[in-house]
Amino acid sequence: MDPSYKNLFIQLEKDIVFVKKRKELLKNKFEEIKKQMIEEFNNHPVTVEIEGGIDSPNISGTLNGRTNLFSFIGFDAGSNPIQPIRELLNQSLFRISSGNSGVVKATFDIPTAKMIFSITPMPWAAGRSWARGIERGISGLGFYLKKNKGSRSGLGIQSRKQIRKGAKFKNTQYISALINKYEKKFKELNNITL
Amino acid sequence: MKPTFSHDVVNSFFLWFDNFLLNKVEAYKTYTTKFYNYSDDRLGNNKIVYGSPYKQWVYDQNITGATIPSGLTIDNTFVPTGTSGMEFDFDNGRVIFNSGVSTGLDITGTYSVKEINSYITDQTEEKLIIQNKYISNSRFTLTENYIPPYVPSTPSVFISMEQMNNEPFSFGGEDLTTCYLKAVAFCENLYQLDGVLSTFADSFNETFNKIPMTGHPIGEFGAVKTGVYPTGYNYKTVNASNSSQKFYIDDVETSKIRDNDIKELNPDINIGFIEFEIKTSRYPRL
Repeated sequence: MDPSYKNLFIQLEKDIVFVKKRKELLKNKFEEIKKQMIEEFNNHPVTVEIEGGIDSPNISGTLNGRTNLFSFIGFDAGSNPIQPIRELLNQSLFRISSGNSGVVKATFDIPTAKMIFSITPMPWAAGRSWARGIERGISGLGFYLKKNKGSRSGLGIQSRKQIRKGAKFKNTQYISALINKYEKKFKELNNITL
Repeated sequence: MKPTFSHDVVNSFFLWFDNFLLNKVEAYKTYTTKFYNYSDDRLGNNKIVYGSPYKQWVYDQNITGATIPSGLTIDNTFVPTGTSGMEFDFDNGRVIFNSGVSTGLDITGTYSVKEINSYITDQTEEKLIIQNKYISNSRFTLTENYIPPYVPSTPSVFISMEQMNNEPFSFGGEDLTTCYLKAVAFCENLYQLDGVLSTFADSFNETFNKIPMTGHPIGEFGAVKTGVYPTGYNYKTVNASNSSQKFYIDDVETSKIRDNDIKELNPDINIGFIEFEIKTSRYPRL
């Protein structure tokens, strides 16, 4: 960097009014995008359907209307599997750091898809994420396990009973697409004019 | 229909998976047992069958310490394969003779058996776990007899290709192909299941080469294809000689059905899942 520019930037960093204004502007923009991200997550058909609980219609269209995601995945009645994701998205933050070089760095900490997958375990399988399952496919196993919980009436590994027909899962975009989209939007904050 | 890329992926992955498990944790046991005569209408030509009590014998010469039989002891005399058409059906754990061979022979043999059998499947998880019927690879049975052929036996792993997608990778039409493969493991106990899951959780960043379908070692009757592998099948050698396309394991996730949930299904079995994300770069349109 040209020394005159470097000097200018260093002087700017000493200007409290400028630094404060910059932070405020960035914060507003950041919070605006963060709000959009959480709203988009909240309004996603999968989120709405799961939050609708055991009686929700299959508004996400992932199960041909045969059952709903809450039951199909096998969540416990009364549980709120969406809340941990919302909390994690809410924890998104930004910070500004500057050094002697005159270069100021804004870092945006938003959860990765992998982080979200790690806090969304299947209710019946430790280590498996239902949120990732929405994107890659979920078997009807949770539905079956839930349905037969507490019953030992001959249903087992060698059961001849058919599991519910028609409740075949259709993958849909969910967390990865959301995070990718907003990662780009946060990165665009690098280009804002002060 | 000619074999496609996805056929080759599944074949290559299956052979790598088997070799990795057998080598890494020595997941095999060696037995010397009697063989029992039974009839099998599927074979035709009045073939004579003698079955062992265990199925899915080890046939990979790369597995150090495993015994790959070259013949059997018949009426106290060692008889090599090829005699009276004798060939081993490694998958079904048996020996097949040409018609005319006596059904009252006293046959014994030594062979190594996979501790975890492996199968390729296209069935859904729920179908595999809930509806299918399996037999146990009778390691703990008191009365020894032959194990029925064809029906999958546990402990076992079922491998399936879930999804595949391409995304642009470089100029000139090169794509990055990602394949999602899943293995459902049925184990006798938690120790065994944890062993399988842990072994493959550590396979992150492992690589293996594309071995075409024609390179699959097992033929029609479950014997090693002598036309393709005249001196026997060795995964390490075969993998090294098929180096035109390399796959790498970009991600592995393991999980298991919670104990209290699976006990509702079957108290004698432990079920886990291994999900692989496998990548390679290729020119799919050339």
